[in-house]
Amino acid sequence: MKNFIKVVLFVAAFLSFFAFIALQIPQQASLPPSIEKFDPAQIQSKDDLVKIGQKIFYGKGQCALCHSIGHSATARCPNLEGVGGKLTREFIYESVTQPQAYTYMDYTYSPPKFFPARMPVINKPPIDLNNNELLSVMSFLQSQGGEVTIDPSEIVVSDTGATLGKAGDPGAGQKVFVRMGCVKCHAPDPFKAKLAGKDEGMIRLAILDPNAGVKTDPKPVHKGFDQAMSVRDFNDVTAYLGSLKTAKVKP
Amino acid sequence: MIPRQWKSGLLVMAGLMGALALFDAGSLALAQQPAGGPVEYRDVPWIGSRNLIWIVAQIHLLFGGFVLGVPIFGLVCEYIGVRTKDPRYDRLAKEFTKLLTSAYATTALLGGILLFCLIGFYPKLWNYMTDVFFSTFMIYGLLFFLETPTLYLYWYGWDAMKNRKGLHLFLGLLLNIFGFIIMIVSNSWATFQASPVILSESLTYWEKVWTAVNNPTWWPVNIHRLIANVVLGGFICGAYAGVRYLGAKTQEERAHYDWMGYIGNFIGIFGLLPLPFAGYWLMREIYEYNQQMGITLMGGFLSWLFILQAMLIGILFLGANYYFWQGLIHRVEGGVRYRKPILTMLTILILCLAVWMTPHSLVASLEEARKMGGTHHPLLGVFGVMSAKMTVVNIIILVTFMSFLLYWRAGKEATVTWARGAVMGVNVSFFLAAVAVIVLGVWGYFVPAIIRINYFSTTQVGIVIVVLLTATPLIGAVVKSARTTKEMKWGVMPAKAQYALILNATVVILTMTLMGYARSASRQYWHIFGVMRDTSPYAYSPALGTAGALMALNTFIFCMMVAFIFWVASMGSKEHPAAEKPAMPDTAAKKTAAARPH
Repeated sequence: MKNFIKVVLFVAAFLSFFAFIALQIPQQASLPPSIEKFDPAQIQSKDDLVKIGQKIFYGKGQCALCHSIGHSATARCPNLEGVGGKLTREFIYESVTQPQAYTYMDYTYSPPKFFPARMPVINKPPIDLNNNELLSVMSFLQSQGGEVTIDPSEIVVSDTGATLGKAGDPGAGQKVFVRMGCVKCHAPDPFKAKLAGKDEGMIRLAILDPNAGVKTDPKPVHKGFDQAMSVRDFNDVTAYLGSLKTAKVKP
Repeated sequence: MIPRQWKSGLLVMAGLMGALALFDAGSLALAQQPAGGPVEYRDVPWIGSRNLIWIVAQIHLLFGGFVLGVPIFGLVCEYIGVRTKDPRYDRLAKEFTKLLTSAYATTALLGGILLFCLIGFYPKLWNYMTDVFFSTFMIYGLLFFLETPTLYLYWYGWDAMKNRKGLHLFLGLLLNIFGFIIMIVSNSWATFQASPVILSESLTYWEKVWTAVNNPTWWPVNIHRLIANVVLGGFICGAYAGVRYLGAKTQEERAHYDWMGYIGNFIGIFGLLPLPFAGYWLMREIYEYNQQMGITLMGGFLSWLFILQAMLIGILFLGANYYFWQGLIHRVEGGVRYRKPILTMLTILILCLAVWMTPHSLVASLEEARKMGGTHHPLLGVFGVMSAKMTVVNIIILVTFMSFLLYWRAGKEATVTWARGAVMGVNVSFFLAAVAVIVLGVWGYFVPAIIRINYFSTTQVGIVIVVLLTATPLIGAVVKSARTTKEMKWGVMPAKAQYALILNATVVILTMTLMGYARSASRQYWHIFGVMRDTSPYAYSPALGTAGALMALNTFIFCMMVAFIFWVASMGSKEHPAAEKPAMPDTAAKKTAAARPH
């Protein structure tokens, strides 16, 4: 019994020693990354797109884990300096979304062996960039020695409420209102379609999430507009409809 | 008759289990239910669902390792007993197999609690896992219908089959095969979480299941765990023998448990030597699968964990060698003459361990960093990289094996003419291997990492394995034909040697908990890496201080539970194990002294 207690104390003392040492080394918890919000409303120019793309390249995209911009002795994958001047937009897109599209053969073997791509499919988990993020990264890559051909208008409004608070051009919005076919149901006079005098936030919500707050008709006809509109169109059309508040008192 | 020394263990265990049961019931009653939508997580107050699962899963896995390691240990001992006709091995195998029935039930109990915890606390994750692995759950259940009767036949048929040892060994082999399959089935779930693969819709159901099971880290983990289970079984046997030795009343008992401790330590070391190679393979596969995960482990926030691991493995190697050296000095007449080579080996081991424990970069204040010229120490910084660590690990393995060879040959005089040449050849091969390992290690600083990893490190490992595989049969042949000049004296080891055995077992268990944390934390905030994100409040990995305290707690609980099982098992034996066989171990040892390593 005495020996057994001694053994228990010995084990407890050693485990306490271990716990003590574990407490003495640098303490660093691994926190989950904050979910990055891609705000299309912040993108007004190609430079904005490039800046966001650069952020994603070194952040969520994890591209810099293997690639470098400029020579690096530790980079595992090709140096992307000047890549914008060498590769077309289509090729860059295909490279990141279908890394295996062009198969390489390893001729050090006979017969040559299939050479698997190291590049992960960037729009699939775990990295899983969405279309907007992908376009931004491509802009950043094009900016490396080439001309950025991706226009901010290609960024689609896919995140609910992403553009709230950003003003658009009411004049341009009127044209969008016609071009997007809103007039088919809400026009020719938007006032008659009871669109005037609505809160701008509600207009945005009605486009982005048409089913929100609908009690009688669960099948909204707005479906898909959030994907079809560019962020600029979206801002403009909401600005236009928002401007009808003041017009209401005039007729 | 209940041994007195186990009574306190029973009381402690009963209290602990009772407290856990009460706590569990109370916390589940307080589980939170979010309103609306499917429940994704549930929690418990105070301890938190993640910590509770951590404790239950860890102890279940340790018991899993124990019930898989003991049959391997038992089978090996029984086989040696049949081959050498030494009854001590058979008795040792039987003594440990007796533990299996109690340990088996405890493992199953903990497995059941773990399953309930997973279903209750992580329903979203468990739904997904069930979708992917449901058929393997069924297979897993069915395997127990094979494992359980085989275990009963193996244990209860021990005496009945004493004249049909071939059949009994076959049953032991079957038991191990079923156990291994059970282990690899459950490994597939855990490894899928760490290294999931794309389950294409074009695959058939069974193709999907197989793709998920056969994920990139499945086989490396299977092999690593298989070897680790042998190590666990061996060192727990050693610790058991150590405790019994300390409490032994007669010289006969001491001799029996001294011999048992030696065998346990020997089997533990036997498994320990290839374990770093299996670990290296696993890390390679992790890097191949996802470099980010590899970097998180080796260079990211978990990098300090490997310093702790180096410390534990270092203690383990030192403890195992120390036990060998104590055996040389005390069991062999005139063993004092071995002090000089022991001192040399100890110096080499300590130097190697110092290199192994050198961190790659140091967390320093700005002023300190400026003085050092960076986060890397100007002199010690070179020891922090993998090239240095791989080198010293290989040297440590060589030194440990040399310790064993020294012990094996102690007290024997070669009778064959070629013995001198063979011993000389082995010594030269050790020296050349050490030189080659060091040269490759230094050269590794001047080549790209990919060359070092793919060619240099594997060559270092290959050289050491070749030396081990060549030296063992060669020295074995020399010893077999040798004449024993000085008999081994069993039961004369000092108490500190028994504490070394107990320490070794504790360190092995602690290392298993540490590396379990590493494997789990490498997924970071993913339940299933890259597929299902952890969105619970516990989607973070705690710092090593907190984690270390939980690991220590888990290890302590497991040790106490194992002590309880040993006590329960000892209740069944009316006679003391040492008293079952009247012959002194020394007598049996004489018969087979030349045929096996002492």
